[in-house]
Amino acid sequence: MTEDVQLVQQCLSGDELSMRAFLSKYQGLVFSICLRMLGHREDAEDVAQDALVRVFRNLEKWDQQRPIKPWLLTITANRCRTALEKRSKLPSQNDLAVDLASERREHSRHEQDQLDIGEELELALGELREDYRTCFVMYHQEELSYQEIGEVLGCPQGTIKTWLHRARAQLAKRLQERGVVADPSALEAT
Amino acid sequence: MNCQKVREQLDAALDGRAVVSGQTDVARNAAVVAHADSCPDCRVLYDEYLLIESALTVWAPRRPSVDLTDRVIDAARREGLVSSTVSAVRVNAAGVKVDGAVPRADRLTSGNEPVVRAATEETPAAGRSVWPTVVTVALVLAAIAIVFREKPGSIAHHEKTPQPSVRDSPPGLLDTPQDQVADIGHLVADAQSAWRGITSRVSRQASGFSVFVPNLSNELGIADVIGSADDNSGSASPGDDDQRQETVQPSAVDKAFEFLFDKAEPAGTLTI
Repeated sequence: MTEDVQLVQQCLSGDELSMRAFLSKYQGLVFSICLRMLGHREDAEDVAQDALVRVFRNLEKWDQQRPIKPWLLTITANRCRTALEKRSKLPSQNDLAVDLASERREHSRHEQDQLDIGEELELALGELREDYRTCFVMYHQEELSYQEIGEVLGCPQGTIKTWLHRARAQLAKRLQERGVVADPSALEAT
Repeated sequence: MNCQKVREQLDAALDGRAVVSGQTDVARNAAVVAHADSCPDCRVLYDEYLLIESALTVWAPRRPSVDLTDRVIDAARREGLVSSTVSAVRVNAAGVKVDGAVPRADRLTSGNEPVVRAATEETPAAGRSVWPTVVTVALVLAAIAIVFREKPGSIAHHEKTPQPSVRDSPPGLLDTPQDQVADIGHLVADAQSAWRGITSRVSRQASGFSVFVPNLSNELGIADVIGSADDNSGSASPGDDDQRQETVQPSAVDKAFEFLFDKAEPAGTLTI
């Protein structure tokens, strides 16, 4: 956290190198949440850019006694909600499927086999409710705590736990419906 | 182990992936597996756990395209949030040197971008575009000067009143202010003589066509030049000049002379 404080102070002075360092550390997180909430890569990049510029604009408002991740993601989630309202359509799993197809071509056959279940998870995520999906991604991919997710989404921890549990259950159900089976060797390898 | 314990352990395992993949390893926990084998409800939960855990192990995070950093920095710079700049040449994620901001379309087409100039940089063509015009104008002016240059032996040369040349003067005579004024006066006289020579030559050439075109000299506005060139009087009086301007309309030649000699007065009305 001290490192974040120092980095933020340098960013506040307008130092470009520090701003780039800040971006390399947090833009993946911001983009990931945007992608999960919007379900469309290009929209996610646009909103992530907007959110990150807002972050730089409001860096002085960040309470340096608290972790920066929830504050960052709160801004990001707000921008995503605004974008969703403007777009007035729900994220489509087709967009994710297109992204997956293009990604898949870039991998070798062996890696494709390993990606199959990951791709299925992506598709299943696209069918989840937006708050369940965001919650799942924040927890399992960005490794935020219940408390931090609660701060970002403006919900109590109990709600987050419930959403996360439901998200897992619905994902598992959808994976099973698609005939996806667990790969015990993958678990053993970890 | 009862159903409640199994569900808590499965949830806890999914809550902390390090626990699953490392120390506790619910998948191989004999007690959990034994209960799941005997309890259909817990079996469903256990299979779901295995499925989610298996998917999470190969679930790769999605990352933005390479240019998101540049886009954010550029947007921040436009808002004045960036006060210092790094070197004009920087290295992008692909390890390729990039000069300034890169247009998004270019970046999307290729991962290994060539060196691209900043969008705000002035193009070299814009800086060079003035010179061809300048050179052309200079050449035209030089050609005009050559065509109308006074030649030795011309009419104007013969008509010119002999004046002592300052260049014939011995060195040291022009050191006084009076001598310098006299020198300027000689230069003015030379210029007047050259102007009369040009106009009289044109008028004589034009008079050759007067058989076919009556009053051609008047049309050209140089009828008076013939007489004035003969009497070596230098310049016409202002009164005469006004009278001529009432009777002679400005012709195309007048306008051309006016343009070429920086709005000089019509032929025969030169005053210095």
